[in-house]
Amino acid sequence: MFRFIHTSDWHLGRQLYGKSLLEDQAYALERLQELIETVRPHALLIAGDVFDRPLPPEAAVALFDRFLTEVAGTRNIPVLLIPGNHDSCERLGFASGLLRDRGVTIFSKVEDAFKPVTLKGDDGFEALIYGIPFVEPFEVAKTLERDDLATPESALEALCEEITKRKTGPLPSVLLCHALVMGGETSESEREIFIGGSASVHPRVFSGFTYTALGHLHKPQRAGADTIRYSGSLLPYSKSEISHEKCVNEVRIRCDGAVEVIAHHLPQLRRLRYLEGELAELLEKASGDERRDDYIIVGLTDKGAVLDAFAKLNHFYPRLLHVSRVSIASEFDFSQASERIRAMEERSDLELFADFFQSITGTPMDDQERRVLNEVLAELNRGEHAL
Amino acid sequence: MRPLRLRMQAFGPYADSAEIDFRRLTANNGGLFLIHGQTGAGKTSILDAICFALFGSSSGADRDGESLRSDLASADRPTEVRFEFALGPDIYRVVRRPKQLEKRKREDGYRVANATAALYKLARGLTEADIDRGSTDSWELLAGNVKNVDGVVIELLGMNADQFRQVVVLPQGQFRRFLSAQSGEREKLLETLFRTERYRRITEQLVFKAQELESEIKQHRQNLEAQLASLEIGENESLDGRLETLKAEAAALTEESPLLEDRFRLATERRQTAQLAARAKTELAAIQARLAGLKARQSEVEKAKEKLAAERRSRPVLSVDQRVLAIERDLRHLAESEEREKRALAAAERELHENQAQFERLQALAPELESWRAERTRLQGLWTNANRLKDANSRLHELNRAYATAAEKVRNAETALADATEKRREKQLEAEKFAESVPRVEALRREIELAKAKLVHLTQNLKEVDEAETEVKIERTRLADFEKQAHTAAQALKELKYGFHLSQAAILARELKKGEPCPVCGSPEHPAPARFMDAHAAVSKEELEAAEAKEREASERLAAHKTRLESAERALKLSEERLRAHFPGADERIRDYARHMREEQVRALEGMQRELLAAEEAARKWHNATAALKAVEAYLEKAELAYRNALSERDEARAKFESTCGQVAELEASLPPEYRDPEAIKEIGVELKEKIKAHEKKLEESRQLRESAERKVAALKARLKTLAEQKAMKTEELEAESKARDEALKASGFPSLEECRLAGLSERELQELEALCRSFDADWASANDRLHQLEHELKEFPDWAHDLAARQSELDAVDKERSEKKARLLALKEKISLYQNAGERIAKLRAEIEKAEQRYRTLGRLASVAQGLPPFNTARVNLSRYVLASRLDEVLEQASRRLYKMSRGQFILKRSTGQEDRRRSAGLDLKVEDAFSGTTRPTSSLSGGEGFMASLSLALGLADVVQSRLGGVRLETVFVDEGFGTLDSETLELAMKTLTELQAGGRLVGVISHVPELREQIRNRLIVRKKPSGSTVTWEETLAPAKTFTET
Repeated sequence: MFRFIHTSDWHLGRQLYGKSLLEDQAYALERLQELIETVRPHALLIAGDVFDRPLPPEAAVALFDRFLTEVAGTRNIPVLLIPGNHDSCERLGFASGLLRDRGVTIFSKVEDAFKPVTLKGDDGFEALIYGIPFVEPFEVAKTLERDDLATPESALEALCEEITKRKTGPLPSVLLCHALVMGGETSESEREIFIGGSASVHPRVFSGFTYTALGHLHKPQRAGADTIRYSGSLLPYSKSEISHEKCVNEVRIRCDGAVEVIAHHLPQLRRLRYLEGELAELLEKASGDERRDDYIIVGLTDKGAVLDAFAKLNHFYPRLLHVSRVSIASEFDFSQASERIRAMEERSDLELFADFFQSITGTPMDDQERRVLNEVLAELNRGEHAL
Repeated sequence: MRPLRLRMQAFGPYADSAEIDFRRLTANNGGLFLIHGQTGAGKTSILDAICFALFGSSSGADRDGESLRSDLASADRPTEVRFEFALGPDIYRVVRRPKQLEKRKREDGYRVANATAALYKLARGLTEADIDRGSTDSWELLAGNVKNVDGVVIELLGMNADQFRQVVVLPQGQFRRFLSAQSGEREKLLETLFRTERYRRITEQLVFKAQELESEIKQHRQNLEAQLASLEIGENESLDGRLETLKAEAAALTEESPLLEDRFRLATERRQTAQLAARAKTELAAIQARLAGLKARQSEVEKAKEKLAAERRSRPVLSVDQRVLAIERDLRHLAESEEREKRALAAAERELHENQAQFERLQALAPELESWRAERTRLQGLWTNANRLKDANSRLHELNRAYATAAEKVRNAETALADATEKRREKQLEAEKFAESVPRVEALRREIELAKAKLVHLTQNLKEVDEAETEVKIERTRLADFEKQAHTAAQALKELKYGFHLSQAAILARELKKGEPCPVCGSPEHPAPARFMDAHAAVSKEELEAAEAKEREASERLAAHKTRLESAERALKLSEERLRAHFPGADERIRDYARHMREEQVRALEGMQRELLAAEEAARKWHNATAALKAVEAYLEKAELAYRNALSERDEARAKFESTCGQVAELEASLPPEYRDPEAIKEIGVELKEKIKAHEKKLEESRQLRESAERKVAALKARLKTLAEQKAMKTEELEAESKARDEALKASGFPSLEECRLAGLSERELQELEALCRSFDADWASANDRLHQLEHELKEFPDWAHDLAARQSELDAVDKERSEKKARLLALKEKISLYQNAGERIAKLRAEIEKAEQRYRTLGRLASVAQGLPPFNTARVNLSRYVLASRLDEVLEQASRRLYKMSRGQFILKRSTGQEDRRRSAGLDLKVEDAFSGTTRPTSSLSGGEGFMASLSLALGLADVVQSRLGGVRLETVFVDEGFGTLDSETLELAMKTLTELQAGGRLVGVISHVPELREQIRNRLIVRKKPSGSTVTWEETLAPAKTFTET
């Protein structure tokens, strides 16, 4: 049997509403280390977005450095990872050639997709691990010397076909890939993976692999098959992820090729919570709240004016992230707005004047006034037409 | 407006020509692109170029048109921007140059070239792929100068430069302007953007209309007053009263009128009667006067009557008298004529006589005439012969000449013939000379071939021999070397062997123990054991083996070489044999001999070749000579023929000449010498002819004269006879008539003929007298009648009729009264109707004024409200502003939508509607509502990043509303110039989301920024590079390969 842990989308160094989450990320990684200790996998797979920015903050880099040293160095667990759309391939792939020999494989170039790592599991059972870094389709096109690859789907399809062609032998294969697969549920915190065209990829592209370890979507889910999965992000990074149970996947590939996936929940240092209600209620509840240290996002439903909501709530919740007025959110519904504008457009001069008149004098225009105005407008129009 | 392609030349930092093809974005389905590069490289210049191309001004206020020229541009590159863009389905191209210094074409120095601009539209049916392929036919010129282009562009885009800068190009730091601007400035911008001048115009129109109405009302009032004044009434009541009075008067007059008419009629009749009476009286008086006059003339009339009677008596006498007088006259005439005729006759007879004499004289000359005629005939004959003689002489002359020519010809032909014969002989000799050379040539050629072949062979052999010899020599030397080597090796080996043995021995010797047998010889005694000698230091087996091997090698090599030498020597022998074959009888030193022979052969060959050349030359000469001979023979034949022809010609000529000589002699004999010249003969003949003719003419004339004279005499004689007869007759008549006259006189009673004649009257006199009598009688009778009539009439009239004057005055009085009353009635009627009309008009006028005043009140209210003035409009907000405010609300709604999203629900934008500000431009101020604090705060209190978000949202909101409001304006593009640097990474993500949304909605979004995150996230990138020679701009090659697009 071959056993490995699949995780992704750590986004080390990310901020949420301006607050750094590094402490919580460090906590999560410690828990992950403990899990590794327990499960004793044959490899750790990270499917991209290790950092949040191409140039991550120093503390985040230090954190990753410590983790990697511990897991791959001290405990000798092979770590394999790919850069995601938040990472910079070149920077993350620094010294990857040298690191390969030391148990850390970073698939940072397109060509690396054709250099899988063979790992041994129990009883000499071997598996092949492939990794495709997140690159623009044109890079893939350049490497494969084709000029018809313009979308992520066509690029990945071409690469997977090529990998399958070159594969010899019956060993099971695992693919690390960072992509948006069709049917996957997105959250607020993911960045658009491909601007200006179809970004999603059909799951059939991965049909040649025993298991596909995906990264990019922050919700843990399967994507088109049981063996094609997102592990989800390390922590919740937006309001919409509060309901997700953040976890990592333990994947077991048995000698007969069967795949078993177990999700392990990662405990969090502090939860992310969303509270909705009127200010007065919330303040009342706040005083009895036990977990005031959590990250809080508040939605106020008050209809009228509320003063200093943030300051008042912050008094109870030191990690208050954001306050917004949900009652007026509906006003900014796009369809309504355009209706309103269209309605305004169609108002004639007369109606406009009538509204104006009423709003100024408080009384509507009587018939005579309307008549006179009509006459004046008609004359004006005639004059204009004659010009 | 979607940009398709931009080319900047010598513009800003682009010294050369820089082109950006935006169509690549469409091909890549990417509407979002980044422009990045170093500071000052020229990023913002791209936006400047677009603004400049469209409007002639750049995007920021601090770059004016004339400073756009690139400092690094070369003098022959003018500053120019060419921009192609699409508006919906139409594609346009604008080309513009600012005012700049231009190099003069033909002299040194510069001149100022004015700004130019041109706008074209792509022909229908062509697409954006064709903009570089199209010919000049594909583009239609819409405007050709700056003013027109500016106008058309503004029309097409639906906005001017200012609006464009607010809505499409959001320049560095500038779009925050709108956010933090004063209300007044914002108002101005919104006005232009939303075209609310219509509402201003409505307001103005209302005011104008109100004023118009006011002055109209004023005019009406004035009119009313004037009208009332003209009727001389102050109040309405007396108008009606007046009317009543007048009406009553009119009625009375109307009643009276018929009575008056009757009276008038009566008076007129009476006057008429009186007039008749008066007329009768007058006439009576006239008649009486007339009668008196007639009486006075009575005696005159009596006298006239007497005259008439006398005339009647004389009439018959006078008629006869006339006749008599006539006859006497006739007689006189006849006598005169007779005299005349007699005289004429005498003259005619004299003439006749003369003519006769003349005629006879002429006839006497007849025989002379005959002789002249005969002479003439003879001369004719002579003349003919003389002509013939002349001809013959001239022919003779010609023939002589012909003969001479022919003789000449003969001589020439002879000479030619002799020449030709001579030539032929020459050529024959020549040909014979070279006859033999032709076969010689052939023979020589053959010989030479053979010799050549032999020579080649020989040379070849010699060469072989030489080579073989050389080979042998080489081998020999080599062999010597090898032998030496082998020897050396053998020597070395020997030495080494010896050494080896020695060392072996020494080794063995070391082990020798006294008393033990030596392994070599067995002796127990070892007197002199071998020792290692320095010279033969220990030699190992390996060394020995090596040396053996070397020796073996060397001897092998030697053997090999020996064999080689042998074969070389064999080869040499062979070649020598071959050489020998050439000279079978030769001796030992064959090689030298052979060489010598070869040289000789070469010389011989050369000799033969020279001979050949000579022979060939001779053969050529023979050919020439033979050809020449043929030619000469042909020529000779021709010459002979010519000679024969010439001879015969000459004989002919001579024969002709002699015959003509004979003719001449004959003719000369027949003509006397003086008559040999035909011309002379002719002259004489002509003279003679003239003489004859003159004579004949004279004869004829004379005859005619004679005949006419005879006729004349006869006629005259006849006339005389007639006259005599007439005279006799007339005399008889006279007698008769005289007798008759005398008788008539007697009967008339006149004493004498003279008295009778006196009594005669002319016709006219007669008529006058008769008329006089007649009229007098008539007048007298009528006057008398009329007198009686009138006397009777006058008795009939009544007495009053006799007083005409009284009747007349009566009539006048009545008439006057009547007409006065009529006039008065008419006047009354007029005034009545006048007053009635006036009343109507005035009523109408009053009603109108009333209506107008009411309308004015309404208009006034509307106008005051529209203008924002009290008392009706206390809010001080006029119509324009109201509309603007509502537009602004729309904008803010759109803006807030975006801002809400970007700030995750924290901020929205609002318009301040409070009345706190009494200023007229209040109502357009902006505020930000912060959900955190629940209050609003001024926009200036936002931080850098927050401000950027708010400004961006506002600008995009403005663009949205402008687009939907201005209808046809399509804002498919937006450029954002910097500002992202103030955002933290989270906000940057949100801003990116906004931009991504924008381009997903179909817009083209261009971002200028140097923030690295954006570089990572935006795939399509334009790189602007700053170089010392000017900047360049290119698409980074992350786009799909170019050929999917440009292969059109």
